[in-house]
Amino acid sequence: MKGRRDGGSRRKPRSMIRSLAVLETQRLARCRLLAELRYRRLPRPGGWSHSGAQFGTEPTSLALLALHSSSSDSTVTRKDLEPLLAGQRPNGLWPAVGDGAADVNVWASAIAVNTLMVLGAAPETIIAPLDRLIHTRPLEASWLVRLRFRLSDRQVRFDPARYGWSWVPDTVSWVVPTSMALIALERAKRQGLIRGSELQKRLCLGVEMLLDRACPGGGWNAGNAVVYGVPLRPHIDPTAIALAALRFHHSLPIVRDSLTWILNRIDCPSAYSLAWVILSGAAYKDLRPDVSPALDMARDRLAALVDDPGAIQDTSTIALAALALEPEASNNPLEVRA
Amino acid sequence: MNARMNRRIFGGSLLAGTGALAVRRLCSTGCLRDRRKSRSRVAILHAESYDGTLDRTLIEGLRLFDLSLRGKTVLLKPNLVEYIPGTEVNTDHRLVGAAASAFLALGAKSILVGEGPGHQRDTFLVLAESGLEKELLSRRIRFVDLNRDDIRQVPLPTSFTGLDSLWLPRTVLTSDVVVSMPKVKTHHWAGVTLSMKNLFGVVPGVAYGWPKNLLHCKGIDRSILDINAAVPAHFVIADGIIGMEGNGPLHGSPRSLGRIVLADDPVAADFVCTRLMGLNPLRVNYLAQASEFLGNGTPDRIVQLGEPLSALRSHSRSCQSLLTCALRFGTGNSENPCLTPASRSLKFRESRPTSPAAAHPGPAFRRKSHLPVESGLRMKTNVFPSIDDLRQKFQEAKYIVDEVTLSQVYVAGELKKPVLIEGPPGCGKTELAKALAFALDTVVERLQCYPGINEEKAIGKFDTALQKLCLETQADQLGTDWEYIRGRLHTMDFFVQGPIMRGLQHSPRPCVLLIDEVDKVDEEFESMLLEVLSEWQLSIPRLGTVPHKTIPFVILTSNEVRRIGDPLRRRCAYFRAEFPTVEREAEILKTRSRTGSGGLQRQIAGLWERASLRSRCTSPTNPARR
Repeated sequence: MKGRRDGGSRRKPRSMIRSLAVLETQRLARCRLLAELRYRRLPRPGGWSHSGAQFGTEPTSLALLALHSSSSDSTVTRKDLEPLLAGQRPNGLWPAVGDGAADVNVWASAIAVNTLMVLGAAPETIIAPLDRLIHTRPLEASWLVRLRFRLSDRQVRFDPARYGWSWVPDTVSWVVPTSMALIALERAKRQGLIRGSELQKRLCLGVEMLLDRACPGGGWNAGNAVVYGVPLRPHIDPTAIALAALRFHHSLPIVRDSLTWILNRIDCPSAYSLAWVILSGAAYKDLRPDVSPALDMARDRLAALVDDPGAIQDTSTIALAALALEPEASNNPLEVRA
Repeated sequence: MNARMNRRIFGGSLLAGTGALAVRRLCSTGCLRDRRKSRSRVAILHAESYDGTLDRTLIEGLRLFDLSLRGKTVLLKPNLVEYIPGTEVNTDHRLVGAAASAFLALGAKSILVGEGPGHQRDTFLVLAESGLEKELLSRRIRFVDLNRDDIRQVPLPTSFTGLDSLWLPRTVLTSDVVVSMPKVKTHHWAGVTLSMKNLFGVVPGVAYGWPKNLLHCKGIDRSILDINAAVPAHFVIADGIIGMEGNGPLHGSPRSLGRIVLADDPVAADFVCTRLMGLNPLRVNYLAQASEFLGNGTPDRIVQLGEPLSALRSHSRSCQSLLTCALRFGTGNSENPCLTPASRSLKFRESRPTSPAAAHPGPAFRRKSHLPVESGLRMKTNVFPSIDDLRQKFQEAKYIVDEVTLSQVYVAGELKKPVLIEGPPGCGKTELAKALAFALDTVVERLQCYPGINEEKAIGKFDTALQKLCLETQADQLGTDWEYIRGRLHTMDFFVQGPIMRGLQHSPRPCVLLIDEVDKVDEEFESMLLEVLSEWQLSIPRLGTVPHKTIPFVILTSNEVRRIGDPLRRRCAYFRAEFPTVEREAEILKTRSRTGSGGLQRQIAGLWERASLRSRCTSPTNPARR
């Protein structure tokens, strides 16, 4: 018995040492990612591009979140947010890339306003875009378009009465912009920034739309679950973002199935998708016991994938990975606390 | 007075409206600058597989065009949509790698590979899963995600969509040579997706979203025309080595074409590829319109290099006649089992032009031919390049085959129907399957039937020992969620595949699935075979429905111990095999023996004939023939 106890006590320090080594590897990887982010910052007025020299709302939002996620940089001033606020249009929304003429983009706007809320920006900078977001409607909001989908354009199986948000104006709603808009509006509602029946209606419709567009076995792709009667495969990053948007509906079977599906995809070879999985999964870690061990493994894998941040083309991936590699991320853009 | 004024105002407004519409229509199509070259060049190269000779094949092919590449930046734009194991969705990574090396060898300054998938936001995931990432790393070629590149606004020279401008990636606009590298596929909305449709991938997702919905809303055909007018591809390398037919661009079936198409005009390339698929390009809306101003579609303006298209067309005609022959055997409905009922009902009805006038009909005909673009397209290409080729392959396999058997096998291959062969033991039924595997350059998966055979033996079963081992060794990773554990343990990783499952999962080339002595199984087992042979899928408890990766060439043999049920018979191309005649036996001996003595071979054949005749006379009456 004594010998066995000794063996057990010998194993324990070994596993602890290993855990510490893993954490240290992840911390170093995160430091390298943050250094790369600082290096990639664009000249005045600042901001980040996806891969070139053009301001991008998504990489700028994610980079700001990543850089201000660590404790040393936790105080955020208006000057820090200047790059993001500079890209805002007079109507309150953001384009995906800043070049003066590009159209506004719901995904970019939702992620930007979500970032401003996470980083604690002044309410007056947030209210207008939130209000605009509530009143931005996709094509299916028109009864004529709904009628067209019901009568003729029926190759894709979906209910046009359940709509969310489109990527750009004059198009129909899709999973990713809807999910991010839902996350932003839910956060605003819980922070008491906005209220009203219109908000409630859009939140309900958005959730219904996501549930309607789920793939039959769980998970989401861009938004076409069944085409010509053939079920299409779910994709990792839309599933992760949609799951985060449905965090408060975790008891639904389709949400449970989707979470199981995504936790089985932690062996994916792409840092972008894996980082979204970790950030989304973090919102569920208190709800299911299998989430935390899976996320630990995913972080381990992610640290290996982003070993050389200079070789990663998309700045969003670098920022996402930096956020995902922080186990207790305070700035998780996908996590809305109850 | 007022009423007259109102009528005048109404009439005037109507006239003005009609005029404005006419002007708009004229602006979008009528006043188009004719961009067609006086002559376009197209080369069709033979390439049976993606093996190591692709580099050389492409260099030789590109040399036919005498391109001026010295000091130029070349952007290769492959078709990457999504990685689905077992399907041929994407341009093969080996062809992209070979093209990059070929352009460098011909003097290009630098090569970039760029793509912006339309549905999958994570471009680098598709890149890694499709194998292209490794390919490019090994050849030191840079990849650009066109969905997230810097973008610029470009005014549109045409206005089919009604848009004034498009946002396009900087990399595309600054490259000297843009090479469209499509996968030869059918497309449930556009008809076909080739070099022109492939340029949808240069439209940046960052500006238009995933999918590029604005362009879908404006009309896929119109968007293809506007994009190609704004970003003309300078060169085309189309991957037709293995294409896709059916419910493309994602869920069709792989189809071996064994061709690479090179062209210096995307419209000409797409016309040739569409004909290569056995479809009429003028039935594809955007191709018909593009051939009026963007590129050449008429044979008199296409210079054919390499293999002539006429040879392929005459070959397709022979397929048609064989398809007609198949009606006699009750297998005439060339139904594609991989299509859904909805898409099957929208089958492409080809009208192959028989004369130059029919090939290029006037506006009246074309209006009629602008049918809605159907899904569920089938390439009228062949399992075997031709019936002569099949005969040749049988000869190489030393299998002496008569004309009836030859055409039956050929037709069954075309129709993807199983072949049921009935006949006495020893008359060469099993040997036919082996010879066929030789002809198809594939393997035989054999299911030897016997009384009492069950689904487990034929399809496979879960390996309980392996499941137990996994539970014991991986308990930490599996956690405590029972649903998850159950799901994890009931995957293909723990499934021991039987011959039928192996036959359906064989890839990339289909195998020959030999179901030998099927007359020995019971009726339940026969019913199970119906699902496999009509739907090409398997329903397995706890695993769900497992679709095929490739459709095997199925041969069922029967010694007529029991009569095979009608449902199974009707699903098969049927023929009876008999013992060979003395002459045929002598011919077989001639091919198989080393002796050159014809007399001796005839004597042995005669002896064998007498011996087998005697044994047949003494055997009981065959129940299957009652």
